[in-house]
Amino acid sequence: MPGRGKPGRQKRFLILGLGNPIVKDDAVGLVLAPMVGRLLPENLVDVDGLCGGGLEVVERMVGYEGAAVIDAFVAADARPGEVRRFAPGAAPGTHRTSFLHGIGLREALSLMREISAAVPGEVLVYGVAAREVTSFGEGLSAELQARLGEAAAVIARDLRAAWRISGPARKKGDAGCTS
Amino acid sequence: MRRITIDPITRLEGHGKIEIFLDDQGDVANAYFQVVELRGFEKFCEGRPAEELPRITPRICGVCPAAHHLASTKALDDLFGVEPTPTARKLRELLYCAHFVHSHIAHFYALAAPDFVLGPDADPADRNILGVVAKVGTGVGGEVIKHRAYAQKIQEIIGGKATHPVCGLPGGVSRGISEEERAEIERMARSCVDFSLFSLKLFEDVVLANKGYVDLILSDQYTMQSYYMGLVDDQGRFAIYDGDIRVVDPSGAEFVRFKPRDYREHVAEHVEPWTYLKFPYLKARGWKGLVSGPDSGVYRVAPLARLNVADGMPTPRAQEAYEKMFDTLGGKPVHATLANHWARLVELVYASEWMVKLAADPEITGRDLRNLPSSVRGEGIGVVEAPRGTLFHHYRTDERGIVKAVNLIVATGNNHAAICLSVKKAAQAAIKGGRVDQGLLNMVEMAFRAYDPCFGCATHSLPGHMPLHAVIYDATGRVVQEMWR
Repeated sequence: MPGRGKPGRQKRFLILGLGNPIVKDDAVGLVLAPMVGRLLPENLVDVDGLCGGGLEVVERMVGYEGAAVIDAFVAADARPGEVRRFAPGAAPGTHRTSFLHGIGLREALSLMREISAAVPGEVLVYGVAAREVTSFGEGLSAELQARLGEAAAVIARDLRAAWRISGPARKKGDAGCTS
Repeated sequence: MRRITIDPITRLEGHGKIEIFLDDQGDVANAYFQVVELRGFEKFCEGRPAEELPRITPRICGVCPAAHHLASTKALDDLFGVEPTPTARKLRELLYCAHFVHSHIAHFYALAAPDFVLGPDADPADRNILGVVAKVGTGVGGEVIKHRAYAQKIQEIIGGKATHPVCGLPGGVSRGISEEERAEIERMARSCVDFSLFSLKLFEDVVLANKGYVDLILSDQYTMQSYYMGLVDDQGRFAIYDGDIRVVDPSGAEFVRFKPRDYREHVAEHVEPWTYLKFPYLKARGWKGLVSGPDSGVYRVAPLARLNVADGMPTPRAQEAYEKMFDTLGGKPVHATLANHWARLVELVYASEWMVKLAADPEITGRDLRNLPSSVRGEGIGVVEAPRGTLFHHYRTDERGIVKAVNLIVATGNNHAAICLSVKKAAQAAIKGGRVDQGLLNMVEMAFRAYDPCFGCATHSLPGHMPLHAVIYDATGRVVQEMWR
């Protein structure tokens, strides 16, 4: 099953920001993904954004060697902007998803592997702590916005180690999305 | 009094919470379905150019973006006083049928099938799409993925994006399709017809051949006498994109039939303080509280309702399936809530067949894609049948087309009262003497999953997992048992 990237132009790794652009801090994944992409070698990493969950997320990863998902999470003990990486084995199960009727990321990955789809062997899940995820509105909260640079740096460092990649960061400019 | 909480609910879109109150005998005294959904969408739209709404409104709910996109586009048609060209209308319908196909496939295999294929008492760890695939074969899993991908590809070709279409314009669409694209769409659509018939056969083989499941479908705990609402075409047949709104009463007789623009004469909304979602009801019957029956204004929408109000299906294989369903379940109207799953598969067949019909229409590759608007009427109403039920978009603007007010009656909102009633009834039958286990709790959740509810939440933040926490209190308020899923 082909990935959604253009044939012949799909890179080795994918950073996928998840979020809803009109639900305040829920957009953090969409905002942060390009920021992280700019800190990584342009020739190795694709960046994209998705307002979806579960199976649709996994379908977007088909054909990549490695993938990382960035999304908002809410926890009483987390300061806005704090980054946590969820271990693959403890990746979120069925939770409040948007598109795929309750299929969580873990289930979706299992299903795709069951049918031998070419999904990455490992999917890294980064949560960025947020507060305002229950009301419609544009723009991130000030506290979260102020910590984005730090969050991007943390994730980029982690990805360089996890994917064993080196090389200069992208040239200045928007990392953009592939679709 | 004991209190059982199911929060949040598994396998549905959005965030809801069920609270079940037991009496001293451990039987259900009452149950409430609360919606803790995102707030403020209608306010968020005020002050924006109306043309932005077909791109904004799909973000309300990530589950049915195409439904919102087309309801919004139709509201703009009305607002600007312009009709789409024939080619544009057919492209919109083709896009929309594709949306129904992938939505219904996802619901059946991920949400409904686990209960029926594996059984409502199966281990929750297995009662999911993976369990279904393990039981019916990985080949089925591959076909599910493939046909979802086909439908999303069709959406992408016509709508510009696979998930959130951007093609709708007042008076038409933004782009047409080439002959090459048309042929590809037709090929994929024909495969979807085959898969939809396979899915229907699977349902028949696994569910209808099992007397226990049929008894469950027809059981009193999952039966509710109510009014039903849905779109019908000019021949009174099933429709999802356009038509009149028809309501039938619990006996199946037509109660009222009206144009979408006149919805406020027939539908009003009641507010309760304990939930964010309003309760639409039939004005002619009035709000009588959370009760059903011929004297109550409570009505239902979504697949079962659509088939109950329709005089037939516009496509041949769907018509066969429609007749078989009603013959099996004792004629029209069917009040068995779980029959929504069957009706959903009938709709899947229709949507696939209609895609083939549209893809083969010579006009579908036409280049006349838009009638340009020339005035702003100040008010626009657009209605479609979302996979989950009748969806209303109603906008008021100033003379420049800047939004002053938005009223949305989302599909699941129409079913809110019915969902509450179904949950209560299922709980009363499934929980007796205080006996509560995961299977029983799932029986209660089955009641609302049949509605394929979506509570306007496109958030998918990561709490780590979706907890299911039930707390049981005795009559003194003391916690006697806690359960986690």
